Amino acid sequence: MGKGKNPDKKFKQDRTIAARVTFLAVVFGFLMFIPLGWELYNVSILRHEELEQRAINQQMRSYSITAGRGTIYDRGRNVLAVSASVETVCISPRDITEEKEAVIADGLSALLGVDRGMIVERMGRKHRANEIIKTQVERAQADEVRAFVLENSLNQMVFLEPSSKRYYPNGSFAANVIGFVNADNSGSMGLEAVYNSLLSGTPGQTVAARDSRGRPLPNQYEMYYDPLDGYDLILTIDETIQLFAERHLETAVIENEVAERGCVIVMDVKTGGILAMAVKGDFDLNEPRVIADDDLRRTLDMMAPDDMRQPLEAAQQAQWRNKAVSDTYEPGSVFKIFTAAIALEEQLVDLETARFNCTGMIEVGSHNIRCHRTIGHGSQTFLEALRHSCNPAYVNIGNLIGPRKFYDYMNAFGFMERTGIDLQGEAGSIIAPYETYSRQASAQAVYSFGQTFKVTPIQMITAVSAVANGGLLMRPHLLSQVIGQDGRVAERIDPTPVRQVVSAETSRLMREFLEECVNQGTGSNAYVKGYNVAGKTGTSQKRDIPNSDELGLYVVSFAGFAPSYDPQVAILVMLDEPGLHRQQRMGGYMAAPVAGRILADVLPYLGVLPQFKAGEAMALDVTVPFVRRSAPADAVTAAQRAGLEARVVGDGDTVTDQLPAAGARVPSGTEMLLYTEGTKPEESVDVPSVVGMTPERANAALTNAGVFMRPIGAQPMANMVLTAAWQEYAGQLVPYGSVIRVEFRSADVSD
Amino acid sequence: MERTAKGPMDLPFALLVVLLSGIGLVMMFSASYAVADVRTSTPAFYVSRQGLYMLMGMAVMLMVSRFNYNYFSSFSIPAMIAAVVLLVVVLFVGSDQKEAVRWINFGFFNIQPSEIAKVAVIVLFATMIAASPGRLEEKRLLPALWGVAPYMGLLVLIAGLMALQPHFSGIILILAVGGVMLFMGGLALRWIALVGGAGIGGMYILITATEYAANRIAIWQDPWLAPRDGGWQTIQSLYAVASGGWFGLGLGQSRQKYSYLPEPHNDFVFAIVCEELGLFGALVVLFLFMLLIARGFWIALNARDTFGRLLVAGVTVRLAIQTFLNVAVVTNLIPVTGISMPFFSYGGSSLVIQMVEMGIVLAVSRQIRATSP
Repeated sequence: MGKGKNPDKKFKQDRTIAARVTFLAVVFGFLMFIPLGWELYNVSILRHEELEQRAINQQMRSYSITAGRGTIYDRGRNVLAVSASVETVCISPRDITEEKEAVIADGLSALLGVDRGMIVERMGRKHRANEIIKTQVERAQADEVRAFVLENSLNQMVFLEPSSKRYYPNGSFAANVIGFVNADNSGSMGLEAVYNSLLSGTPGQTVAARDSRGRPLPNQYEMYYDPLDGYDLILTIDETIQLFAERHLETAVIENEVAERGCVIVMDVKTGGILAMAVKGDFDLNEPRVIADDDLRRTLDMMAPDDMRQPLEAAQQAQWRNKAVSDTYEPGSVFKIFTAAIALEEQLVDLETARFNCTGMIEVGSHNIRCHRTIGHGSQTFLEALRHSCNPAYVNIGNLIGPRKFYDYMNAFGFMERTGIDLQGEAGSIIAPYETYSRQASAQAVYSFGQTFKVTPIQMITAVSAVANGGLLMRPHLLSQVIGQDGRVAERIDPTPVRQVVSAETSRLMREFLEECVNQGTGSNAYVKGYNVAGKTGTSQKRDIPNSDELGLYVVSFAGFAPSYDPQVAILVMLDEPGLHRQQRMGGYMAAPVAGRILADVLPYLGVLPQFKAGEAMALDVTVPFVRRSAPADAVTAAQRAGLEARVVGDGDTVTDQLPAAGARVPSGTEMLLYTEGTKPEESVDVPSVVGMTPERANAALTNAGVFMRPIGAQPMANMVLTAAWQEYAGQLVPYGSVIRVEFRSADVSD
Repeated sequence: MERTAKGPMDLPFALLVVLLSGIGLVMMFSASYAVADVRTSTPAFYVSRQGLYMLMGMAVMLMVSRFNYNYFSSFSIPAMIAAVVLLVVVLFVGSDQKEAVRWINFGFFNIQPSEIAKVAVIVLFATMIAASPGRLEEKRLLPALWGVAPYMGLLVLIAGLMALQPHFSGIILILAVGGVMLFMGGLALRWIALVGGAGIGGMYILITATEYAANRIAIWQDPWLAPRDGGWQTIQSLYAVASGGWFGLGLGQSRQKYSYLPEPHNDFVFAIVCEELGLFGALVVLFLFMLLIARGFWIALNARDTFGRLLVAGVTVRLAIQTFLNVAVVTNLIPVTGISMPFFSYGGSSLVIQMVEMGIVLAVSRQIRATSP
């Protein structure tokens, strides 16, 4: 130590050091705290509000809790659309470590079937904490993802969030009506879209303090707002009726090679409630973006992805389009219903004395309008003109009405306005403005029989219902009740009358006349035994398409209701562009039988009791009684009591077997075979084809072969030629004594 | 000379050390709770270790305080040699921490050679200054250069070795402490002005010339320019301080410690102090530091001799600078530098060295001339 080496220097150094330490004591022991204190005050007090708000924004995260989407039921409370819990697979790119990237990309693409490139791309968004990889992952798949996360320690990197998925248990059932939801669960089409706000409810929310990776903090406050689940909807649609409509429409579309789809509407005539609305071809609601038409889908699949996009979108839009409300068609002779009703309402014809002469052609201005019966119908009563669907007669009736009145009634029947049905994309009709229309004599003439203008199917059935129900035009609707999650009815949709169009008396007359059109007119193929179907057929060229005449493009339809004495349901069948090479491209031949088949199913289902006229009782279907093990004489009595005839085969004491089997439905008067020795022959029978035969010849052919015939379809009336249009099991082997259904149609149905 | 000192140690200083250690431990526990839970799933992981080091540090402090401090001067050269050797060794065997090698692993504990270097610089410079009075006070250029040469040589050597780790915050601290030691030792004001001026000029050139530095300065001015990359720590620290307001969210109630503020138990404990205890709590803590520093200077001024005075002043200055830099970073008064808070930040070796230094102060206090005020 250099102590005392140089006392002078030492003393001087001591003084310097003491002074400087004192200086430092002031600086470090006091002064330096001033800026620190000030800055602390500045940040924690002066900038408190601003920075705290930012801190809270960063710490608090709000999570939306999906509200349960309401269920859609038919009127019998059968589920048409329902939501179920699913999960969304997400990644948090900001937590994904480099060595796990490949594991995640490979694993998730394999497990979920998503594009690996997409995962890699999303993983690259390194600042994000929530990137969606796949939505609507169902339980089983979600469990696999959870196991994958556990196995590879991917916590925080891959996670699942609860969500919900819409299921349509019946697939394509009522697809164009129910509609579907987007990936975000909001309604995209149909009722799902129209009533989206009722169905979707209000999402809930949690607001909670989270750490920077979204994990909850312990002991930190959370706010929780309950989600409000959506309402359930009960529709006017009846699942069973819809099923009947779809089944028969589909058959007809295939059978008639319909190019531009077809539709069927069944309406409650008294309320305007839609019981069924079927469009074919349709699509599977569970996979709405898949093109349902096989050929079209294959064609699209073969295209390059870039070329495919536009036609694919067009095809999707086309299959989603609800033909029953969004498309218009030319009603043709079906419109004579209204021409006739107007004439009756305005009392322009004396039903007793008025005669309408038809020479097969009528001159209107410079045009000649031909009747489908080129030799003419001669002198006809008002009813006969309707039954014959005679165009020249209707030109005359139209002239009686005059353009002003005719136009006003078209308006009154609702053809000039949208019906206001609760569906999206309802089209308006295409009808000439009054000025144009009234200036041309030919316009009035052709409007009288429903040509050169277009209406929507929903307008047509709504107007037909008005004619049937006593003259009151109702607003069509699909929603019947809105049900809250407590199960109580939140809203009941009452039938909405629009206006009285014609009188009850006119309605009564039209019911009678239109039943005649089915019984003995062009609508005969819609005949259903015992159910008094009324209606009118129509066929029209698609005149708005160039060269439609040469191309043979037609739209065929039938509109009617049943039973005629107290109408319950109205029905419209429309087939757009039936196949070119098909014979008989007419509403009476193609559309009327569809209506007949549907009504034959629907009316018994609705509990409408059949009422038979004198002639009909003969041809009633009866149920074969059980007569085995009884004495032959008793068996014969039983058969006769059931309306059958019986022939005993063999000489035994008791009936050992019978044909047809007990419970089978056969026409009354059919001969039963009662075997008393042994059983009925066990061999199989080759069913001959009887298509094209008259009922008598068909019956003989089938009886010869050893089977029974049960005729359905049009009923033989005076001067009407019926031929078998369809039969069961033609060319197939069936057990001896089976009952074979054969549908007969009248070919004489030019409308 | 006696090996041990006879007088009583300075009780106010010792009590302030114990008090700040206690508060520091509690706040470090609160700040480390979440990060410990996430990293080790043992919330008390850091505090249990820190508590052990603190007990060890207290024992070392008491032990050091028993020595006659004049013996420290004879340790100074071996200590400096050891520090330099360790600084070289760490470059080869050091364990990584945040992309820099700063630690030597001795099995159950790690040693940071730069911490040893800091205390070695204080003791050695104090020894050298006390041994050669007048040498630093030279006003002529050449003798003055000759006078500062050994000090400068040592500082350049240590700083150079630390730059290889790299450990820039350590360099800042060691240069600051070394510089203040030279200032206290009587370096003529003209040279201080010259070096200071040159330093400021150099800094200015550095900032304006390099994009990196200019960028750092820009982010310092407005951390939201780079909210994810450069500004994250600053923003999160400001959020924590601001959230505290006057009286804080309450002990343990910090939200920023949940993975928002990086290393909340380390360089940013004080931000958590502000968030949980508010401006009030933060000022109380700073007041205790102020008392400790002031008491340190009081002991320095009353030390028995120049060596003791320099020793205590050096230790106190290093404590003060570290406190200042840490709090200044937390409040964004200066750009981010990784400087820990004495008694508060987690870290075994720096805590023990800190306690060794406190022991040195107490050792000097046993031999002060005046009675305690």
